[in-house]
Amino acid sequence: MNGAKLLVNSLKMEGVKVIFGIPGLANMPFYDAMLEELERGEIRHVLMAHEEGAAHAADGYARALGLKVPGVCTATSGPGATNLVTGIATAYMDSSPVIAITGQVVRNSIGKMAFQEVDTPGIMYPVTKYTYSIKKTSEIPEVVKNSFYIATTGRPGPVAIDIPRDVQLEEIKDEIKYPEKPTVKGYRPFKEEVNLEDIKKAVKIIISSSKPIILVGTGALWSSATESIIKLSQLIMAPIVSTLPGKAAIPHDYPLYLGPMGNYGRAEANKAILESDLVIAIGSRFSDRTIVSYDEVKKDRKIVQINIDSTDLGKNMGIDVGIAGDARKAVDLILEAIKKEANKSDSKLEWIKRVKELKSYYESIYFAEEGKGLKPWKIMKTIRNSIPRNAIITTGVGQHQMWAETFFDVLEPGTFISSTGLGTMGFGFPAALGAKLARPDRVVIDLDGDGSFLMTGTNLATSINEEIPVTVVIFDNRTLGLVRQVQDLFQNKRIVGTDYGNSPDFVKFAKAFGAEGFEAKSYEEIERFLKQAISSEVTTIIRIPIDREELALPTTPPGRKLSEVVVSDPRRA
Amino acid sequence: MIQEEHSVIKVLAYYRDPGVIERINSQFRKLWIDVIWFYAISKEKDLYEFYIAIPKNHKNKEILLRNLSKTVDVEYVELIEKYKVYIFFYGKLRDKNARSPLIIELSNNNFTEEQVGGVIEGEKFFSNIHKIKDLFQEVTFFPLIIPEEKIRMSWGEVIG
Repeated sequence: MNGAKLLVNSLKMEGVKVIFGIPGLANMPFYDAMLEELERGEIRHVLMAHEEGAAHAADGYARALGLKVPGVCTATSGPGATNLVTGIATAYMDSSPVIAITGQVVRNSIGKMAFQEVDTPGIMYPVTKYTYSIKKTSEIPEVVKNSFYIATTGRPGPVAIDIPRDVQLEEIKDEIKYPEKPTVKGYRPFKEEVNLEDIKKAVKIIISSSKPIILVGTGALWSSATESIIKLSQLIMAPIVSTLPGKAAIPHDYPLYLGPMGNYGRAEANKAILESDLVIAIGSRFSDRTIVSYDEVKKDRKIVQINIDSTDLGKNMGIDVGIAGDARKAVDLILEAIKKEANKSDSKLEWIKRVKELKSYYESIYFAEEGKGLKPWKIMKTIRNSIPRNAIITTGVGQHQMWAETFFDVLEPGTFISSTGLGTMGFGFPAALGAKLARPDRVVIDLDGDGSFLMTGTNLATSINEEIPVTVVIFDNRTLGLVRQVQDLFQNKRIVGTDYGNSPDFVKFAKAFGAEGFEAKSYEEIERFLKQAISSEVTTIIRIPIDREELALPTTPPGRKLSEVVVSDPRRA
Repeated sequence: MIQEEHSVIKVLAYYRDPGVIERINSQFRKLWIDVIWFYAISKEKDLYEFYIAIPKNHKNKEILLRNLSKTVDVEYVELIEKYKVYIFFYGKLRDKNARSPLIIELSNNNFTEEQVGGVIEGEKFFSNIHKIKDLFQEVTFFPLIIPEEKIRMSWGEVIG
């Protein structure tokens, strides 16, 4: 058996069913060793149009399966490996378990600027949780075992495995048993158990609060804490706000959910957190995108932070109590402790009343129909009403992502997938392909922008050739809208380098690849084409023309405070 | 001379390949923390001790300790403040006011720890996320840096 076969067998031992990638000279032995598995249907290979798409697809696959199963991608050495990097960095920033297998030049050529040689481990270190460089064939099973362990435990994250071509080709005579347990030195996953003393401290603060609010982050999704968080919200009468990725953890039809807070979050969520006297942050690291102005949020209120990564406690913002551990376990312990003592005083009723006032006030501003063309908020409502409750949504990055953040209602946990940490344009479409392969029973829709889709849109060929039908809705305003709006509103209208011309025609683009393509010019057409797309067996692009002057609102001006949120178009004032 | 302006970070890490140096070094680079001096020795099979001096009052020092603590390969992290370095040469105290341990002279490979080496003395703090988790029932996470007794540590054997 050679190293490549050993690698394939090891991946099978880890239960790998799908590999996204592109072959080249340095990972060719790996492909050769996979052939029989592919023919038998034991593993599926998805040939992508670009390696970045392979990494995003693996990421989307992992996220659609709740981050419990890694997505696997592969590329050859040199440009293949460097093309993976943006996708791997995206997974790293959003703590998604991806295994990236890269070929490397033969051992004798390493360091000699050989053809397609690049220092892949050196490039991967900063954007992975760990990177292995395999020097001996016999190491392969142990490295694979350890990589899957590292990727899926503690704070999940990507792991890269770089394997020289001759290591893949080397024959080994001795039988190597696949390890039963991982053998990683210098690594232990974060503990899930919660310190009861910290729970006591948190409960004391929670009971004495009259205006509590819950901030939900991605950690709530990892630990499937949705039900527990809603129980806590009901028990202590606390409204819920979320981070952008955390919005996937709370069904938006829960009456006390106010939406995501932050730079482009809902104004009522920002306002409510500033009027609260206690923030219970569950699975959030307090990123700058969410908190925006740390001093303002910390001032005049208590902060309880629950996070499985204990090194994140109080790292970005001062806190009063830090609880290290699994979000659901921590919330369940809090629930148990305060069941009898929960404070449901009149002041809490006032608080809930105030929060509802905020919600209805701001909604009356958002949901206006003035101006030209179709309104993004109404498009989002139309899409929501046209697709199944459990449909999986992916997004690109740009204005459309912010509109999805603010106006698309997630109704089931884990059905909203977006590049929120790195903000990678081009993520949405390949991630949708990965999600569809992970959950073939689900409708998968990529909400994308024209600029964002163009970055990885050639993977349309993959979706047709590999028969992975998804729907892409392109909010097409022929501009890099989010950049443009900052230039327009906050840089003295000095619009530079953002506007596109008329190319491409996305309907023709779709058809050129063998996909369906529609242009929707009314809400009725959006609904009709969506229903048609969902029942189609091929990928469908629905282009929706959007006025270039449309803004992603609410927004906070760069470097300003949450309280300075801009809710309505300042150009009309 | 007690070094007041620097702190020393001690890192115990397992060696798989030279990438371990980059994994440690990158934590300093990413936080824009200058390295005053850097010293590493192999203590036992696969396990290395790294000593890295940094500006004492760097605002990112605590984040550095946290990030190092959860870096794969890293077993243990320690902060040494107000440290003093002694350098020994042929069993004699050569320099009790050394600013760093990087001035050791060697003429052959037959030295023992007593003959050539150094000692660092200072106030020890630890920031080992693994250890904190192990003791989690007994200790509160904050403050992260817990003062301990003054200690003496040997550089161990130095091989030229």
